[in-house]
Amino acid sequence: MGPGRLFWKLFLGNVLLMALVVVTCVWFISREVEHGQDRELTRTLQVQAAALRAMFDDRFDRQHADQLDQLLKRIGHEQKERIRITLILADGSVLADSEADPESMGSHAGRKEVSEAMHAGWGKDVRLSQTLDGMAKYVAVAVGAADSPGHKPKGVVRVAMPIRTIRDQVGSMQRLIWGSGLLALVAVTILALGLAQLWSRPIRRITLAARGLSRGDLSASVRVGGSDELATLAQSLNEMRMRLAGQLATIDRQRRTLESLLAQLHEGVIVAGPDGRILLINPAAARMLGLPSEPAETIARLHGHAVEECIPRHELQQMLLPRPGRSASRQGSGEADTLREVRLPSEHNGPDRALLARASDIILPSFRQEEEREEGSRPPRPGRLLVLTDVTELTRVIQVKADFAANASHELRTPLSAIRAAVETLQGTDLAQAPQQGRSLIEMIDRHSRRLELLVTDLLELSRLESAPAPFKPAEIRTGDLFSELYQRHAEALTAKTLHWNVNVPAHLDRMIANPHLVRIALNNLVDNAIKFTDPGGRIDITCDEAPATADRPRAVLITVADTGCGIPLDEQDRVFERFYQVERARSGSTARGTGLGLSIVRHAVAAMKGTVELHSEPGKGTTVRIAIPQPPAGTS
Amino acid sequence: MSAHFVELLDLLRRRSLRMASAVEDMLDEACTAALRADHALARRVIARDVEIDAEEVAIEAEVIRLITLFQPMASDMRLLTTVLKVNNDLERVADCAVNIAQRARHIDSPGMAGSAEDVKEIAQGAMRMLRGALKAYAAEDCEAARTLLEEDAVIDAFYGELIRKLAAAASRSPELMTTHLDVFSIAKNLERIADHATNIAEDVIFLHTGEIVRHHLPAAEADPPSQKR
Repeated sequence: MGPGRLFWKLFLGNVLLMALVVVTCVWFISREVEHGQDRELTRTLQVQAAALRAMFDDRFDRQHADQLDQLLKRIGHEQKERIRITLILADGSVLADSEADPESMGSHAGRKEVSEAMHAGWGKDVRLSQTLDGMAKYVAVAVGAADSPGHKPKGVVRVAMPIRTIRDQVGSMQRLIWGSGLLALVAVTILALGLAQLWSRPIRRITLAARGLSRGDLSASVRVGGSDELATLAQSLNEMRMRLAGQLATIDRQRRTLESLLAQLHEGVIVAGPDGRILLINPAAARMLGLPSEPAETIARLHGHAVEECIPRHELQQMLLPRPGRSASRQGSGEADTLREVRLPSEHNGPDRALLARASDIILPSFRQEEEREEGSRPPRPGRLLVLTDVTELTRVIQVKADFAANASHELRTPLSAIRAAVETLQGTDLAQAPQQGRSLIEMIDRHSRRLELLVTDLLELSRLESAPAPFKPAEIRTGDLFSELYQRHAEALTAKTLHWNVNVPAHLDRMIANPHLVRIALNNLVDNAIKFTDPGGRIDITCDEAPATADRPRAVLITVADTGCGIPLDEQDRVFERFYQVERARSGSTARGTGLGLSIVRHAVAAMKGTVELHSEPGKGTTVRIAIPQPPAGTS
Repeated sequence: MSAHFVELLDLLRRRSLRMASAVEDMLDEACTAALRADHALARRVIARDVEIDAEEVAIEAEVIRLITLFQPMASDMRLLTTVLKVNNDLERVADCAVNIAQRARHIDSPGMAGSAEDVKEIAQGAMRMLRGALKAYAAEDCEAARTLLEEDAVIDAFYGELIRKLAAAASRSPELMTTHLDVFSIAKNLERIADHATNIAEDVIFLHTGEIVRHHLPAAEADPPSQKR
């Protein structure tokens, strides 16, 4: 960027001003010099004339005319400067002259300087002189009447000098003066250049910085030295810039906070303006509605689109679009708020998505200033805020709970009604008459009440596992003790079915970290099942093993319970962990019947230890269940 | 064109899109009603048809008003004709949905005499097509519309298969004839909806390129008003 207009203004202004001053000064000086020279000359000629007068006063008459003339001519020749001396008598006739012959000269009485001198004692004139060829200055002094007023003078001494000589002198003087004036002007120009530069530079810097500010560039600060007004201005500008930058940073931080909040939010949030266009939509909302949500920019691309263009479901569109004729005053009164459950078909033939949508009016700051001005005191038209909550999982869980309640009551009712039937029969039976029948009825009651007890115990166990208020604390367990206790507990049943019990624990796994209660529950249920579904003479193998730590999971102890029982059909293997799910007798080939909760309890117990359960089963060959119990890293226990 | 016209055009397009999503919802509900034998839902679907009909008439009137008032050219005119044609198709889809809902009121058990799975399949196919066509219409996505054109053949093939199965089932269990006929009617309406979805997709292509892809006419015979813009 070249020098600005201000620079030129300052520069030319200064130059003009100073040139004016210099020229005026030079003019005055040269005039003064000319006048001074003129006066000086006059005085010199006067002095000379006076000296000559004194010299010739006593012989100023016709007798001495020749002598005087010779004297004058000598003086005239001796002079370096051309000077002419003339002696004139009172009647105007020339007595003597330094240049010409007095005889040839006419009367000089009419000459201005002579007549003045005759009247006032001295006179002067400037005129063209033939004798001196050129302009000449004449000064005449009266002779013999200086001290006696009223006395007529004897004559006049006139001295003349060609003015050209003086003019030459004055001219060279003036040239000198004008020359130095010009020099001064050049100096002044250079000075003005420097000054203009000096004054305009900080202003230019400030202007540049201010322009940058107005464009939003907050990086450049203005550096202006000194302590004058410009420096203060620059400092104020810097402060303004700093404050602006600070405010912008704050706004940016707040915006980013809000953005990351919206991005992290599990609820979908959509805001539509009063014109029915999307102002804001967060990734969760885009995901829920099946809109492209990856990468993040695609979401930003939805902004400004009409609601109808990108939001699926008519219901949701209606919730987002402002309804005509509704004013903002009712905002928040609940009337404008709507809550709806919307079912969205999934893209990939999966289960439908259930969304809880809540819409409400939202007063938005108007983005356009003219809009604000136009609206005046009228309340701005509200936009719409839609909050979506994905309740698919919740709906499913509610369904599962409802199913569970239905199943549980059904399962509990079966033994209860059997007991009631037995009791009713017993009441109508004479025990003395039919003791056999009574005994079988009592056995039936006993069997069903045991089953009821089992069911209630299992259900309590399950609900305890599910809603444990505090996590189960792990402790060190001696594996040897654990398995011998397990054997003690089932020894009776094992012997009754003549099953082989085989425990295989490597020596280095003599202890493990887990919650004893949970491990016991899981193993008891597994062994229970193994005994229940294995025919007499079969085997139950319990193996302890270890899975080394990998990148995504810690070291784990693996406990495998394998039996040689009837197994589980392949298509039902996934479902056996569901509550009350039991493989049909006809398919399992087993007569045994559990509560249907065993494996469900195992799964919950292992999950409470953050472990995993795997089930492998081959119908007719047997079932293997392996539970993995993660161990805390060595040293922390 | 004046800013006013552009605004009116945008409002009209959005109105058409609103109607489209309403019809989409209607079809969804009609299918659900048929599959679950939900008579109350079916009645609600039938009741909604009045709104759709009124909206169709209103949109058509608005299209004609805009054409008369502003005499639009080129792409604006194409948009208006597309809105008009899609409008017509949407109304017919809504009628089909009403037909399905009416049949749904006759069905008593959710099983549909063994055809439930097939009906579900064809319903999902038809809905997928309609949704895709309307999405392409909303986004003015020509490519998406083109891919949809091929999908119609799949639905048609599936429909033929379903008819064959129905005929076999009807001869096996003639006592369930009314249900079989209901299933037939529902499937037929769904197939027709898929056709309307294809029409909409073709309209979207026309809107974008001025090319008429209907009836597989070569471009020269179709006399496009203006080639790709």
